[in-house]
Amino acid sequence: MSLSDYIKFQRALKGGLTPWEIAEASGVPARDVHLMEVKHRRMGEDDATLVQLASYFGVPLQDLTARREAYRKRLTYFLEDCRREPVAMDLQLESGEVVSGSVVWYSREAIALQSGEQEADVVVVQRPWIADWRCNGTPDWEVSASAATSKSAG
Amino acid sequence: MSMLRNLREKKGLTVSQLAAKSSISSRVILEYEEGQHTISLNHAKLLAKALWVGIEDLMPPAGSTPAYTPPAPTPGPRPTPPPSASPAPRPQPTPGPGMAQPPRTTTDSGTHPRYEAPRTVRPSSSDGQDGRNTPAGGRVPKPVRPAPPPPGPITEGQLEELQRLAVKLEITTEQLEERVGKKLVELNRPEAKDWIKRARAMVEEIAPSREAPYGQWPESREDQEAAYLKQQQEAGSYFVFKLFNGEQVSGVIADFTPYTITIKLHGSNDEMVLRKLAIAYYRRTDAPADGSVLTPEIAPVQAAAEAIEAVEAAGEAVAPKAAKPRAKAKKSPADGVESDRAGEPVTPEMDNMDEDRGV
Repeated sequence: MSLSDYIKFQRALKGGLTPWEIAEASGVPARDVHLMEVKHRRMGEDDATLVQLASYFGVPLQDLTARREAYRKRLTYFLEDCRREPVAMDLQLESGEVVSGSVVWYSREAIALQSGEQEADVVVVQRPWIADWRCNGTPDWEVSASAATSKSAG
Repeated sequence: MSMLRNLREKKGLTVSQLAAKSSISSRVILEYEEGQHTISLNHAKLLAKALWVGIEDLMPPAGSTPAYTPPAPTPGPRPTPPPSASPAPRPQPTPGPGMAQPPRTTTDSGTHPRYEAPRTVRPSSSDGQDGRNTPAGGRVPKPVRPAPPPPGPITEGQLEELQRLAVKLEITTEQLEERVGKKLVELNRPEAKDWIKRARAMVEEIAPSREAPYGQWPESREDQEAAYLKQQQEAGSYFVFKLFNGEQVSGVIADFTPYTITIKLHGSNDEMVLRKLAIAYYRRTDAPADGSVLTPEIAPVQAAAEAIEAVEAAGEAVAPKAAKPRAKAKKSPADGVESDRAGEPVTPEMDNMDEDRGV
């Protein structure tokens, strides 16, 4: 998931915190939290900010920096490709669960996959819960694979 | 015949055509032509423009009654009259039918002053003729505009673009040149521009671009989720919601907002408001006919209640709408999770409209 979605995910885990509460507690300006969460562009992703947020959420810094490569539009491009082809895809959720199906529609906040043969067999996944994605039948997950490649290249 | 009618007929226009061209009503034009009224300055300008003549052309020839008398010239340097011309001032024409009254001033019999339009003084040439187009008369002839330069040759960028497009069209440069009818380097800029446009259209036809312009993504155009929820609400579809803590609740969609979904719990009249933030996913399914639940061990209301308890313990990700019997949460998923809201007293649900607030 993108950094934006990850912040939402963390907010949910923390019981539905607002960006203001995060800002107040973490020291990151509310505007930056808001921009990171809402904007399509990759804003406010500097290391200093992420260190503050990682410390606040109690997660390793790597959990946040890795999100830079999983930016929102990357998933959007992938979804659009899958919708046009059309090919089925797998979504790996943060819980480890995998949801499969072909893309019916997608919006800023959710993705609908047709998981069964019937048209009504639709599962709507909220974006903040998507950890990774891939084409159905492909062994590698998109984000994990690219992260591993860049790590080995580095 | 008045000068106005004379000019109009000379131009082959009917009254209505002149009216259309000058934006003056046909009736007024007819009145001018019949001499019932004098032509006002504004109308004279419009008519002169429509007839492609000068305002002074609306004046009748010397000795006859003019259709329009321009206002007196403003004081200024007046060229010396030619020696052959009479030193006597030019006699003012007598007002008559179809002729405007001479401009009046405040001193003119105490009537209201009349607006005098600024007028340029046209100096006469030494031969007594009108000074138009005579450099000696002080008027500089309009310089002839030079012909536009011929279009330049094809630019390097255009050439590169055409070659790139040829590759995309899977043809060689020679084949493209054959199609163009000459060598690419012999094209001029407008021709090259035109061919680039055509080639791009061909490329687009063969392989539509994957790029979507900014702001044109389906996700930004419309809220697909809202449309889907509306459709399912109307259909009375039954859904199972998987919450962030792993719990499941099920029911029919009663209402929804951009940030919440209200469901009517299966087997009861209770409603529950789920914050989307707390939902991992939801799936349409068939409603259990016997009122049994999705998770065999827990009854739906009990499962919902537990989910509520669990979420409330974590800070109100799910807010119940109606009071309902609740089982005590045995274990909260927020246990062990550091939260500055955990354990706080129940407070009204903070809405999640932060996106609309524009921090």
